[in-house]
Amino acid sequence: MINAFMGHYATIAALILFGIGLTNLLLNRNMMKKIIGFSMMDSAIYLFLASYGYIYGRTAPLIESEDTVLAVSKYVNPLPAGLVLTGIVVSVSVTAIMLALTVKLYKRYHTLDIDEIALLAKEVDDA
Amino acid sequence: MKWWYNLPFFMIWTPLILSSVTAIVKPGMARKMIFIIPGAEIFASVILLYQTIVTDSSFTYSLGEFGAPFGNELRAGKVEALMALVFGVVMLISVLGGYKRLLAHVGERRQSLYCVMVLLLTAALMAEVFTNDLFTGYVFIEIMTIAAGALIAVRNRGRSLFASTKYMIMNMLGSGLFLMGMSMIYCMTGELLMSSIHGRVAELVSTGSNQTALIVSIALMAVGIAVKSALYPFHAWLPDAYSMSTPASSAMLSSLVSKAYIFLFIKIIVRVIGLDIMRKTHINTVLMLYAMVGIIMGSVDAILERKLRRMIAYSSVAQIGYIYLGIAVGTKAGVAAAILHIIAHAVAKSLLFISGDKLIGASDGDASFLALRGSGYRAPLSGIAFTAGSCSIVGIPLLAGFASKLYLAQSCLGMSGTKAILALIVLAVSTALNAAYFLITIITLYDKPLQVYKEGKTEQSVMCAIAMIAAVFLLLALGVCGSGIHTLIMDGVTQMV
Repeated sequence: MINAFMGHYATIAALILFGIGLTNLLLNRNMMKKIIGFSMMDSAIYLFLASYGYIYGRTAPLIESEDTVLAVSKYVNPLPAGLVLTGIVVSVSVTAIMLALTVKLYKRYHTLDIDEIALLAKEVDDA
Repeated sequence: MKWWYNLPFFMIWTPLILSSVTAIVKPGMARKMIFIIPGAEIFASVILLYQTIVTDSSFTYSLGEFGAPFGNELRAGKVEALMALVFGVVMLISVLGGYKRLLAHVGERRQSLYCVMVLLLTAALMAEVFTNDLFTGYVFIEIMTIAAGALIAVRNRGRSLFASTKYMIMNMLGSGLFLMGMSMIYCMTGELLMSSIHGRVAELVSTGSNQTALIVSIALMAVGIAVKSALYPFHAWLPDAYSMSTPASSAMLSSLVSKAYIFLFIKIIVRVIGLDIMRKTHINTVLMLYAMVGIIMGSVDAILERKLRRMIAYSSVAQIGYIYLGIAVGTKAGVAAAILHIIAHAVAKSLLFISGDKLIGASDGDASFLALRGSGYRAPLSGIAFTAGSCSIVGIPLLAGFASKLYLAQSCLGMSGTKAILALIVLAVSTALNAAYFLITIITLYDKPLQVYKEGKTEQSVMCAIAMIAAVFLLLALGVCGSGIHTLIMDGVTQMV
């Protein structure tokens, strides 16, 4: 059990961060903190993915010239890093649209508190 | 490799490229794009459907001919071609029906941006239908989320912005959960293509290793998609999002976006995990519980609503419960019935939103039931269309909803005793509840009006009339040819594995 924990720092850190991010996204009332929570949640998943690409004792998959090519079993897995890059782009796009929505909401309702915005949106019936 | 193997790729790639082009052309040309592209998609999917039926095959198209685990693949068969056709047709109906209201709701500058979002949505829909790669599925889920969020927020009211924010927050939650589940499956199996993952998952189950991790990852993916497609306890974003957006967006969201997520989930269940493993781990029992509660509670909430568009939105919750019930049965017949219900609901719900908006327009923009009295006489074609759509959702024979509910009930008989009886009772009770609020609405539409309305009899726009008539005929055709289409879907599901 202790061995399992000791060998998987990155996974445990990733899961704790994922939990914190998820809770913030769901339960926090401030819009900016929700967006930070989402960013934290996605970063945790990327940490999880990228950490599984590393294989102990192997080196980075870079080839400088033809004679320094090692056997395939001497390199770490480069694929998770590629997945993480794609995921980061996706996460950035979603953060961008959320921030744009937050700016528009703030201009209209002058508050970042989502419960207050809910109340104000119900009362004021602007067409 | 036949020439029509290339069709799925171009059905995804063309709207994606053209969306960038649409952002910079003149608004007039951009507005034409949202009709041209769904038309082209319909044309391509008809050809694809014809070819897959004639050759009775499903094919895998690997992009760049790289092998697993590095390559990306598309997979197309009868079911995928049929879903692409249905999505294209429903998108065209939504855009045609909601076009006039769109021009009124959205300013000139934003109209081309709206068209960009519609094209992105089309590309994402086609990608969800055809993809054979889990990570590509995730990327296009996110594209669809962003496009749908923009489609809600394009109307510049405070309420629409708030509805869009709620939609985005809950969808980000769902995406995060789905991504976590998918990362765990990748870390356990080392593969990304759905067919390859299936082999590895079967190995893992037979050797008995990583059982808890496997179940947790499947559960995370299921909850992620359930949040995004508004299964019962996770449906909080749905009523605001559907009722606060422009009718073309509501029709597209309710008929297409949730259904694409559910279709991806069906592909994951059938291709990645396998129906037998899903039954063994009892995930389908949990899904069935949520589905049954959702069916009843969706209808109860709809009965309590006093505004038309929110009522239609709550009835969507119930219908999505039906689809999950079909998936949770855990057999090919259940999955086929769920897919048939997806098609029936997509057509009926877009028709309801389009015609409902016309009825509201004929009542001076007031959506409450008191104001809607007699609007069936003020907007006759919309009244007929609304009646046809509601009858389909209730499940009256000769219309599409009856065929899908019949096959759902039939597939429920394939389960063990108690579950089957419970499912059939829920189906019966919910049909009565559906009739309660839909038939009362129809009676309200043809009741004596309380006052004279200024907007009374406006001219029927030709585009909207074409859309509504086409949708009604489609419902009739699906209802009459229900068994033929069900056989087609069953063949397709067998080849989908």
